[in-house]
Amino acid sequence: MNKGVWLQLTLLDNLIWVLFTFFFIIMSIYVPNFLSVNNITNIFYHSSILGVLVLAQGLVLLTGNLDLSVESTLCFAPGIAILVTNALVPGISPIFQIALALFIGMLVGWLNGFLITRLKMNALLESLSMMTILRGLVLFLVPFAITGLPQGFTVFGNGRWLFNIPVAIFVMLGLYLIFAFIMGATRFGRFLIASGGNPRASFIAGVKVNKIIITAFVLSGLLAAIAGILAAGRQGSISNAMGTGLAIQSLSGAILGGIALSGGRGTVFGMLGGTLLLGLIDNSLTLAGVNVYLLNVAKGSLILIALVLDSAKTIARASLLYREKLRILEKTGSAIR
Amino acid sequence: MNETELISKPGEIVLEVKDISKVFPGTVALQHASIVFKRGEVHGIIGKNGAGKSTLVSILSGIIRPSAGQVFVKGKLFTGFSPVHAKKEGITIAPQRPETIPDFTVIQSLFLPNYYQNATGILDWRRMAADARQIMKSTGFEIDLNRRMSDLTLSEQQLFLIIKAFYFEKADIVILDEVTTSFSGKEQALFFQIIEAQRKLGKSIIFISHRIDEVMVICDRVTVIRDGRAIKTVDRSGLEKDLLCSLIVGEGSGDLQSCEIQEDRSHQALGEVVLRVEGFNRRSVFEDISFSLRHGEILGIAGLVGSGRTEILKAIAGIYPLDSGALKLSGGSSTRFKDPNRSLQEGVVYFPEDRDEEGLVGTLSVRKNATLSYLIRIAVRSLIRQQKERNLTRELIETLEILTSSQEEDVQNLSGGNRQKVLAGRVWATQAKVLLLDEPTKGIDIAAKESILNSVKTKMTQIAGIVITSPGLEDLLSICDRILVLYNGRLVDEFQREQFDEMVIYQAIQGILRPGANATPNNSNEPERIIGR
Repeated sequence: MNKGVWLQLTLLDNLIWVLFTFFFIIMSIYVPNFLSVNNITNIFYHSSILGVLVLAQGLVLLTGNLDLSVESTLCFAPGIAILVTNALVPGISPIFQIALALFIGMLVGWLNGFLITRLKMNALLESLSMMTILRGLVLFLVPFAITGLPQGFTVFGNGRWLFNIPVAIFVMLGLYLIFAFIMGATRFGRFLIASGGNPRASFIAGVKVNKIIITAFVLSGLLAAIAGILAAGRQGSISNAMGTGLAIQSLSGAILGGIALSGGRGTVFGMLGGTLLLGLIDNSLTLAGVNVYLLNVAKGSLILIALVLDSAKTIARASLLYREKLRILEKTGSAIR
Repeated sequence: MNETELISKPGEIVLEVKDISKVFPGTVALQHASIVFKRGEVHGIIGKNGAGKSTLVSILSGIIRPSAGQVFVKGKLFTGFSPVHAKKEGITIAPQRPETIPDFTVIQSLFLPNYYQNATGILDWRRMAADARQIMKSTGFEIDLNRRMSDLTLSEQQLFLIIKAFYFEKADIVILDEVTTSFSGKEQALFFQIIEAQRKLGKSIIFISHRIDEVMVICDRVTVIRDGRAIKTVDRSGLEKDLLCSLIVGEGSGDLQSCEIQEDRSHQALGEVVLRVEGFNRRSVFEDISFSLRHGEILGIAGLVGSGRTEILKAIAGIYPLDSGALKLSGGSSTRFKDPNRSLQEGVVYFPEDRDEEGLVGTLSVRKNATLSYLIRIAVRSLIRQQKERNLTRELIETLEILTSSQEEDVQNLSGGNRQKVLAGRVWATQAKVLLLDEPTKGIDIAAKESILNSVKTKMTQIAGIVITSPGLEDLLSICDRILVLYNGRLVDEFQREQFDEMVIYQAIQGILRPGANATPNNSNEPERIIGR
C-alpha cells in the first residue's frame, strides 16, 4: 500500500479529528479569547464528566447494546455510598466511600448485563427502566442534596495538580489511555468488538459472548460511578438531579466519535474526539454569546452532519480499497478472484 | 379464466422455454435448455446441486432475464421478466424457505394483499373468514385462522404458502421450488392430496426437487437437468429410479477424477483415532449417528439438504442440542461440549456453512477475523502480541492465496471466495485436531473452490482429522478417504476410497441402497419421513 492511499485511509478513519481540527481553526480565528491556555483547559475540564460517560456508553455501544442508565448511576452510586457510610460508619476514610461508590456502579452494570444477556431483554427498554428506577430511588432518598462531602472525595472533581491543571482532566485522559490500551492490545478488547460486530459468528468462533457483554456493562457502570465522583467534586455536593439528560449527550458524543449503533465498529480515540468536539462547540458558542437554545440546535445538527459523513466515509473507504486492490492485481498480473 | 375453460383443454402447452441460456460472470448456468410445460401436468425438474435448477426457476418467476432464448406463456412471448409481470401471466412461486410476516394471523396473511372490502372501504373479515374456512376445509389443512404465523411450524408455514399460491392467488402455473425439504409427515400427505386435486383442475405445476422418490410419486413428466442442459424429459410410464440416477449423474463422470487424486494421497498413512462419535440422537432430526475419524483422514458426509448434515456437525461442536450421545477424543473419556468455546479448547473446530451470518464478523478486518479463534485457543496471555499476529495473518494470506489489499481491509469488502478463505484460515490457525468443515465450497467460484480443497488436502490433513460436507458429490469424491451417506437423518452406507462410484453413492443419497449395505433401507415409494430443519 502506498503512502497516498495510507494517508487518505487514515484521514477517513479519523474523520472526527479532521472535523475537530477544522472547527478548532475556525473558532481560533473568529471567537475572541478562544485560543488561550485558560480557555483550552476550560474546554477539557468541562468535557471531563461527559467524556467519562461517553467512554461508558461507547463500550456498550461497541457490543451492539445501549446503556441509558449511566446518567442515573452517575448520581445513584456516589449518593448511596455517602448515605450508607455516613449512617453506618461516620467519619470513615473517603477511600472507602469511593470504593463503595465504584462497587455500586459495577453492581448496577452487572444487573443490566445480566438482564440483557441471560433474560434476553431489549437493551434500550431495560436500561430505560433502570434509568427511571435509579433516578426515582435517588429522588426519594436524597431530598435535595448531600453537602459536606470530605475533601478526599471531592478532590477528583475540584482539585488541581501539575501546572495547576484540574485533576478531572488527568482522570479523564488517564481512563481514555487505559481503555485505548484494553481495546487495542488485549484479547478482551478484541472479543468485545467481535461480539458487537456479529454475536452469532463470535459465539461459534468460540467467544464467550454473554460474558463479554456483561463485562462491558460492568465497566460502563464503573465508569458512570467515576463520572459521578467527578461531578460531586465539581459541585461540592451530590444533588438529586445530578446527571439528568447526560445519557442522550453521551450517546451523541459516542456516535459523533464514529461508534456504530449496530455495534462492532469504532475506536476509543474516536470517542475522545466526539467528546472534545461537543465541548469545543459548547465553549466557543457560549463565548461568542450564542443563545443557549440555539446551542442545542448546533449540537444536534453536528450529529446529523456526522451521520451523513459516516455514510459517505464508508463508500469512499470501500472504493479506495477497491482501487488499491486493482492496482495490486495489475502489478502481480493475477486474475480477479 | 374460469375452471370449466381450464378443464376443456388438457394437454395444451401453457409454458415453453425455448433454447434458453444464462451466462453469469465465470460460469454458464444454463445452455440451450428447452422444456415444454403442459396444462394439467405435474412436471418435475430434477438435477444435482448447481445443475441449473435455481437459475431456471429465477427466469420463470421473472427474477432474472435469460442471456439468450425465449419464454412463451400460453403462446405469447414473455418479455417482462419482473415478478409483477410473471404474476400477471398467472405464474406464481412457492419458495424453498417460507417467508411470512410473523405477527400476522393466518387469515391476515392468506388474503394479503387482496383483502375483501365492503362499499365503504372497510375490510370485510366475516366474508374472508367464511371463504377461508371453506377452502381450508376442502384442502384438509384444518388450522385456526387466528393463529399467528410465527406460531406455525416451518412445515405448516410451507404448506400454508402452497395453499395460498393455489387457492388465493389463483395462479394457473405454480412453481414449487424444493418446498418439501421442511415438510413433516402430516403436511406431506396433505401436500400430495392438494397437488393431485390441483392437477385435475388443470393447473400446471412445476415441481423442483432433488429427491427422486418424491418426483416418482407425484410427477407426470420429469425433466433432468445436468450441467445447465435439459438432458431428457421422461414420461410417467418410463420413470425408473436407476434411469433417473444415471441421467442426473451422467455416464462415468466421477471415476476419472477420483482415481487421479487418489494417487496424490496414497502415500499418506492414517494416524490414530482422534474423534469417536457414539450414538448421537436428536428427535426427528438425526438418530443413531456413530462414526470415528483418524488423524490425517478426510471423511465426507454426503446427504440431501435436510438430511441432517449441518446439525450433526454442529452437535459435535456444541452448537446444536443433542437428546443423547457422546463423543470421545483421542485418549480422553466420553464427553459432550456445552458450547463452541469448550469444543475449541479441546481442539474441535466447526467451520460454519453460513459464511456471513455464522462465520465472519463483517465490520472487522481480515486480520482480526483470521486470528479470532487462534486468540482463544493458542494465545495464552491476555495481551495480544501484535507482531506475531501480523506474521500469522501474512502467512495465512499467502498460503491460502487470499486476495486483499491489506490485512487491515474490512472482511466484508472481500469477494465471496476470499471471505470463505479467511474463514478457512481462521479454522486452520487454531491448530485443532478435529476440523468440522460444513460446506466449505458453497457458493464460490471454481478457482477459489480448488484452492480451498487443495489446502484441505495438503495442509489441514497434516495437523488434523477432517469431517467435510458439500452440496455436490464431486468435491467429496475428489478429496475424501471415506464417505458416509446420510439419508433421512440416518447413516445408511459407507464407502471406502477404492469403492467410490458417483452413481452408486448418488443412489445411496437418494435412499436406494446397494445390496449388503449396513443399514435397513427405506425403499418404499412413499418417503416415510422428511426431516425438518
